[in-house]
Parts: sequence; structure tokens; C-alpha cells
Amino acid sequence: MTVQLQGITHVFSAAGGSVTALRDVSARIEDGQFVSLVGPSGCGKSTLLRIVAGLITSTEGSVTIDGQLIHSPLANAGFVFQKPVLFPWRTVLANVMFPYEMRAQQDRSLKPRRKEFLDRAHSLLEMAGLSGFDRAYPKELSGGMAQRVAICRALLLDPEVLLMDEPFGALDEFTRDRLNVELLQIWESSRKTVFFVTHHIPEAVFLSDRVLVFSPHPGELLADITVDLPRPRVPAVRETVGFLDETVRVRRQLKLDEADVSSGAAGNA
Amino acid sequence: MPLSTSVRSTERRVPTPPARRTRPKPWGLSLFVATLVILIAAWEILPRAMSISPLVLPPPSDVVRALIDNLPVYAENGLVTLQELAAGFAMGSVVGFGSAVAIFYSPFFRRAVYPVLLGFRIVPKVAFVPLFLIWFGIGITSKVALATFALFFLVLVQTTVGLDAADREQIEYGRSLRMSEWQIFRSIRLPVAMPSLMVGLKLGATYALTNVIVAEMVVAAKGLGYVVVVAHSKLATDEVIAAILVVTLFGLLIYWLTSLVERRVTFWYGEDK
Amino acid sequence: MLKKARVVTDPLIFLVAIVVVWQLVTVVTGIHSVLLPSPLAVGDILTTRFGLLLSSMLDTYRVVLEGFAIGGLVGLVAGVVIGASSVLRTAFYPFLVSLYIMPKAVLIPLFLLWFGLGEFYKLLVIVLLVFFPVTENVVTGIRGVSVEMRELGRITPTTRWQTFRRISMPSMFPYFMAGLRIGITEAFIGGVLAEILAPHAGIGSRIAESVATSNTQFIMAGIIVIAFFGITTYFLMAFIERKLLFWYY
Repeated sequence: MTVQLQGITHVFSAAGGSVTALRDVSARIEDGQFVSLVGPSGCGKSTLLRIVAGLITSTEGSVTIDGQLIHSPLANAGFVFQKPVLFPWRTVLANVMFPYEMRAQQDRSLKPRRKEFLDRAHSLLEMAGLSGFDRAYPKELSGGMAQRVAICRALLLDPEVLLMDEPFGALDEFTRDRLNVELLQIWESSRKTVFFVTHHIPEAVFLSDRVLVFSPHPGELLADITVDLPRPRVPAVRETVGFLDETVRVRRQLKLDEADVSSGAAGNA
Repeated sequence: MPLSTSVRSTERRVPTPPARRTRPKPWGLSLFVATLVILIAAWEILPRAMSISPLVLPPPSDVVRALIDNLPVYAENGLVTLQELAAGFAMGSVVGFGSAVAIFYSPFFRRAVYPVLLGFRIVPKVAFVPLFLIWFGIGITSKVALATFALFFLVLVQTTVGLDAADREQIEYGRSLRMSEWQIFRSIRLPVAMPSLMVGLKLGATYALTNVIVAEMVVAAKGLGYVVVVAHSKLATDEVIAAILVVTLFGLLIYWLTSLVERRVTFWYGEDK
Repeated sequence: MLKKARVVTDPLIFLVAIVVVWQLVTVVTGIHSVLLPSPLAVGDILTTRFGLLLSSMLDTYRVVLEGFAIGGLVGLVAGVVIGASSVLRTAFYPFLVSLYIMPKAVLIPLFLLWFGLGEFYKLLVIVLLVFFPVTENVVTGIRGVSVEMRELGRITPTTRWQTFRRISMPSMFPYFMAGLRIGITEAFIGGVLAEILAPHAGIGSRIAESVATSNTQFIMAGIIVIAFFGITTYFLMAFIERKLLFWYY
């Protein structure tokens, strides 16, 4: 899936004026690319993700996917939020099966294929190291496990594009590192187009083919950096000079030393 | 969501108690039973020691005798009260739930009707007992109507609050899946609203019982409230106390039943994850 | 600004619309005034019998406030004691819960046998209704004091009283206030309930007596007066609570 962003500007109207969240963002994301959107809080990267998902319509500009203009939510996108957003009344397996069930209610032809998706759910959970937890309820899971379930759920319908909004932002550093590796393994096996929002630079570099760097207030595309590291990437990549160089390149683009860093450091809740 | 804040603003100021699952301590039950036994023993002995007339405070043994003598009366009248309560419970919860859905999805209802109902919630419903007796007669209908009335308000408010409780992300997730409005209601909003709705049903049953009993005490030919009044008119203190115990057990039974259903339905509810 | 005004005007418009429709229904259908008096008839009672309504209401209101004050105090003390001691909690909490769940109306005949018709039985009913929500909230507040707070109390050398005074009390206070807010509505229920079941003084008694004379407009006028006092008191309480708890909200 090739995604073309053309002159995207988005203005939120709020009490006492309006805020420009994004200004004139254009980019072309090739099929199967892993792209990170990086920037401090308030740079509109989450807004951009929602525009790509079709959840918000941008004030100006357009999103085309494989040449088609997007208006409504994408039919085959998987969305992962910062919070797992699992449904506490469903078991892990039932959470992963949720997208299928909803789709099957709309499209009767999917009904007989339940077994097929159930198998897929099981194998996704196994891949995420969660076999044996399919009957557990979300309140019994750790934060990292819950987020893995959310990723499995996003992958169930085999989406062509994966949209991830700081999926590991609420996790501790060790869990984040481990999940980064796991995510890459999953991605290597299917090579979907991924939009990955984060404000964690090493994470963006480790995962991505390209890093789009944004400035805050208003969100503008500062740089489009191609990460020049070989794939498949193993954890040891993080300890190479090349990796460090890439993070420095991203960091320089953010001009963190000049800008007001405090808002960025506070995290993007 | 244009006016979701107006719904929250009235509810926000209630601090939500942490979900309490008190683990029963091993010695808890024996301590409770011991307290109960001591209290009953004191009640049996002290009035005699202080020579208080059994007409004023009959000893537990008298009360138990009155209780056993009147068992058929309690059974017959308890059944009437139960029927009144059950009918009112069913009607009140259905109407309350339906109205809550209407309020949730109609900006007009939410803006104009909901605040009026919220204000009305504070008005003591017992004040309506005389009015309902005039409207629906002294028979069973007025009691059913009063139970319906009590349920309606609690279920309505609790359901509206519950429907509003879904996170922005949960709804956004639903939209990203291209779920229809009906699917989002059925599979996201409704389950999210369940804990709040169950509290409404549980408390509503208790309030409805109070209304029914009061109405039965004011005027009725049957029902547990009526039994209490009859005992009172005979000036038979032991029978009054026995009837009070029966009504209390009846109330506890209703509460226990609704709590049981609540736990079954919302077993998943607890610490936020 | 326009939006803010609508928050007030829309419900008012709705209320006025109800009254207009109600009036039309009574005029068009010619329904008997015992079943449904017209709003104008109720308004007429509200003005001509205003003195009686107000003085009856004030009789009730005084007992309601007294019972509320006593019940709030009893609830606070019981909550602190029960919240601090797990032995007392286990021994007595089931009784308190039972007392809360039982329809307290049935206690009134017993109270009448013991204390006779007067203010005291009314007060007792109100106290019984008010104290439990307060107790329950206070217990929740005390038990909910966070682990961090308790540890803070342990690190800094403090007596038990200081820990209670400086840490438990302020943490419990918002819960106490919320309990009082439930308590005030319960107090109104208790007052009206007691008067309806054993009429002698107060607005509830006047309403109950009107059943015999089929004076429906008077019943409705009475309900309106009760509603006015109940809602005003509730919002006054909520306002005070907000002012006192400025650091919490």
C-alpha cells in the first residue's frame, strides 16, 4: 500500500481561537515501509495518524492510498493506541477476535470462516508469547502483555497498513526494548506498511526505514531521514556506531537544544 | 459529543470509592456470629434484669414465637410484596433504560430533559406515595407504579452516566474498525455501561422496596407493610418486631440477589488496565 | 456565551412546555381535578395557602436539618472508629449494612410504640437514614489512604494521633463531604416518610391528610414545596463542599 500525503493542514477550533496542529505536510510512503513519526508533544503526529486512518478529515490537503482518496476510516488498517484499549469484559482470545466478529456482523460471507480466524488468533498469540493466556481477562495481564494482545488484535484481519500511536509509550524501558524486537520480527514476516508515532528517538531509529521529524506548534515536517541500517535488525544493532549516528541525525533535526524541551520531556500522554 | 461535559459535571464531584473486594478474614464470620449472640443474649436478659415490661420490649424468645406463629401470614403477604416489586422492577428498568438511551443519543433530550430529571432525582420520592394512591387506587397497581417510579430514576441516571463512560480511545478504536453506530452501542458502550447500570438496579430495588412498603403501610389490604401496620394496631410489640425482622430479611434477600447478579455480570470490572 | 445560556434556558423551556401541555390536557379533556388538577389550580393553592405550606415545610425542615446534623456526626464518629479498627468493622459492619438496606419505614410503628407521636421518632428515622452513607464514605476514605501517604507518616516521626490528624483526616474529608451530600437527600426522605406514615405536624402530614379529602392540588403543591427545599438545600451543600474542597477538585 502506497500512501501519499498531499499538503495536509489541520486546524482545531477551540474556545478562544484556533490551533494549527499540522501545516502543509506532504510525504509519500512506499508499500511495506516502516515509517516513524517523531517529534515533541504538540507537533500533531498523532493527529496525522488519525488523518491517515480516516478518523479525522484534514482541514486542507488529501490522503491517497494506492491512488484512492480517503474519506472514511480505512477498511484494512490495524490501529494500536498508547493504552491497550482492550475490552475488560472479553477474554484475551475474545479481544483478539473482536475485529473479526464485528466484520462478520457486517459481511455475512465471513461467517463460515470463523475457524480460520480463530486459528489465526491462536497463532498470533503464540507468536507474541501469549499462548496459554487466551482465557485470561485483561485485568490479569501486565502492561506489556496487554499491549501485545492489542497488537495481535490489530493484525487479526491481516491489515495492509498498521497505525501505531506511541504503542510502547506507557511501558518501562526493558519491556519497550523487548517489544520493539518482537514487533520487528512480526513485521519482517509480513512487511506491512507501518506508521509508528513515538517521541523516543532510539526506538524510531531501531524500528524504521524512514523517520519523519516534526516540529511543534504548528506541526511541520522538518526532515525525512532514511535510516541506513541493515535488516533484519537484531538487538545488538543498538550498540553499533551506525545506530548512534542515526539517532544523532534525528536529534539534530529536532533542534532540541534550541527549542523548549520541557514540553517534550513531559511526555505525550 | 456536544454536551457530554454537562452530564459529567453533575457526577464528577462524587469521589469514586476504590473497587472494594473485602476478603473475608478467617475469624470474620465467627466474630460476627459472636457479636450477634452477645446482642441477642443481652436483649433477652437485660429487660428482665431492669424489669422492662415485655409490652415495651419483648424478649427475643417472644419475638421468635410470634415469628413462627405468623409464618403463613408472612409467606402469603411476602409473595404479594414480591410480585409488586418484581413488576415494578421490570417496568422501571426497561423504561429507565430506554429513556437513558434516548437522552444519550438525542442532543435535545440531553440538553433540556436530562437536567430536569437530575434535579428531580433529589426530590424524595416518598412524597409521591399519596399522589400515586389517588391515581392508581389502593390495590396492587399503585405499589407497582411506585416501584416503577423509584427504579426509573436510578436506572436512567446510572445508565446515562455509564453510556458516557466509554473512553475516547475505545470509541475511536471502534470507528477505526468501521463499526456501525449500533455495533459501537451494542459491543462497546453497553458493556462499558454495565457496572454503572448494575449499581442503579441494585440501589433501585432497595429504594423501590421502601416505596412499596410505605404505600402498603399507608393503605393496603395485603403485603408486608400491611402486616407491620396490623401488628401495630394490635399493640403487639412482639409481632411488630417479628414483622420488622421479616421485612429486613426480605430487603437483605433482594439486595443479595441483585448483588449476585451484579457480580455475575460485571465480574471483569476492577482495577483499570 | 450563547451556549452557556442555553444550559439554563433549555431545561427551563422544557419545564414551561410541560406545564403548558398539562394545562391544555386538563382543559381539553375536562379530566376531573381529583385525578389531575390543572397547573393553574395548583398555582392557586401555592399562593392562597402559601402560609400554611411554608410553615408546615419549615416544621419539617427544622427536624430534617437537626436529624441531618446528628446523623452526620454519628456517621463521622462511627466511620472513624470502624475505619480504624478492623475488629470493630468485622463485628458491626454487617449490622450497619442490614440497617441501611432494610426499609426503615417499618421501624416507625415500633418507634411510635416506644416514643409516641412527636418530634423524637421523626428525628430518629432521619438519623438512621443519614448516618450510614456518611459512615460508609468515611470508612472508604480512611481505608483508601494511599500506601505512599501512610509510609510518609511512618518515615517522619509522628504519633498515631498526628498521623490521623494530618494524613487520614484530610484524605477522608472529600469522602465525608460526599457522604453528607447523600445524607441530606436521605434526611428529606426520612422526614417526609415519617410524616406520611404518622401524620401530626409538617408538610408530609398535610399531604397525607389531603388523601382523605381527595385534595390532589394540595398534594401537588406540597410536593413542589418539598422539591424546592430539597433541591435548594442540595445545591447549597454542593456549593459549600466545592468551596471547602477547592484543593481536591
